[in-house]
Amino acid sequence: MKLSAKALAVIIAVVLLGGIVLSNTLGWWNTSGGQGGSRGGSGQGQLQNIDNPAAGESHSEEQAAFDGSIRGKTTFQDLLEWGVPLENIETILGSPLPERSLQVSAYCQQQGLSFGRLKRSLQEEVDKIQR
Amino acid sequence: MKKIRFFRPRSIWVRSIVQLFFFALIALIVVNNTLIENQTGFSIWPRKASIHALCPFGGVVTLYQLVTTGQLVQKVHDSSVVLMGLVFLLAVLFGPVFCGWVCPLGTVQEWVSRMGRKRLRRKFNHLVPHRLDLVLRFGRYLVLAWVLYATAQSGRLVFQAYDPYFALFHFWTSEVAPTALLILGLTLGFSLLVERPWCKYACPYGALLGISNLFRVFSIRRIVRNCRSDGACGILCPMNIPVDNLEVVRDHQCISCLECTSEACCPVKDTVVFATGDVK
Ligand code: SF4
Repeated sequence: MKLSAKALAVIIAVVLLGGIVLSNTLGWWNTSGGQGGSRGGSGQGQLQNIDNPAAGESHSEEQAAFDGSIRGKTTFQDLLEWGVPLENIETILGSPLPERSLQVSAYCQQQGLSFGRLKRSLQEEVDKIQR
Repeated sequence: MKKIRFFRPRSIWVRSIVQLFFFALIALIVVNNTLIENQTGFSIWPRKASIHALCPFGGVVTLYQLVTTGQLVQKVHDSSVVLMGLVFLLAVLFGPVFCGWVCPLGTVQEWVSRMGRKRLRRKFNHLVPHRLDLVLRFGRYLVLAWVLYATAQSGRLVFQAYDPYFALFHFWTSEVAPTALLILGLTLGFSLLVERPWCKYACPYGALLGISNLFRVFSIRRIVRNCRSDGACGILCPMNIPVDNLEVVRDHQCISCLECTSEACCPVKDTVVFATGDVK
């Protein structure tokens, strides 16, 4: 049996895109949080604040989707909940912890700091916990 | 008397369209993800998907962890495992079509290579000494072994720090490691001299998918009785496979691009075909 390039193109598109649609219907297609992200993406189990187990229930979907990366919307509260010690955050900031609900990126903007640089230092702390 | 075409289409145009489609799709998803993460209040669609979630190789590196602990490696999601399954299915049937038709990094290398080909003409893609080339091509299996081992050991996506694919779609962010940027730069630079240098010498996923060439259902087959032995298929194969000396291509480097077939560079109809074993 011979196959032309056009037929192959159609098969590739159908298998990949159709496969995604089918897996989505079956509930297997998880690209951020839910089963995938929390199952392994992040080792979220290790990172949840054990002092406050209820905190996990009130998490927004984005927080539940935590995958070990500090992003623009990550707040200081998130860092604490992931298990980064307060002192370590304050040492990196070189000042007392600001309002917990403040986003790290917004804090950088307020203070005229480079988000990239601060993010790298904080990320190292998050990574240490995951290890 | 076999019909000989005087007009030789130089490439499989439908492949270029498929490549462009998947490149644009991934680029769009990455842009959308950035918009959502930066809380711009605007997104193309509301659902988030990081590039890790769309990489089937993520499914491969997480397999050990998934089987032994039921967990996925950090940053990998269920979608990667689904994609891994779909790409394996395609590979068993058609070989590494993911590399030749879908992978955006392969596509970008091909785009850059067009400039190199224009400058170097016949020398392009024939610069690396044959023996050295043969040895270097097994380098990607070493990379594969290291990535699988290091990921299984650490439970982390260690390859991200070296991954030119991640760097390609995140070069503007602080998430990209300098090593990944350097490797991306080298890959694009060498693409001016060699076709798909990353795929040939270093890609761990290409190494894994390449194994499917040994048993795939549809293969590149040269019908010897029709062949005029003009060598066009071998010269124009991007992966330098001597198709003109083979009856069935089982080379671990074939990417199923179909550029050697009678639909593309071979001037004689039904001489180099993509077919199952019953076509002789
Ligand atoms: S043998 Fe043919 S299909 Fe395989 S890589 Fe070379 S040109 Fe592409």
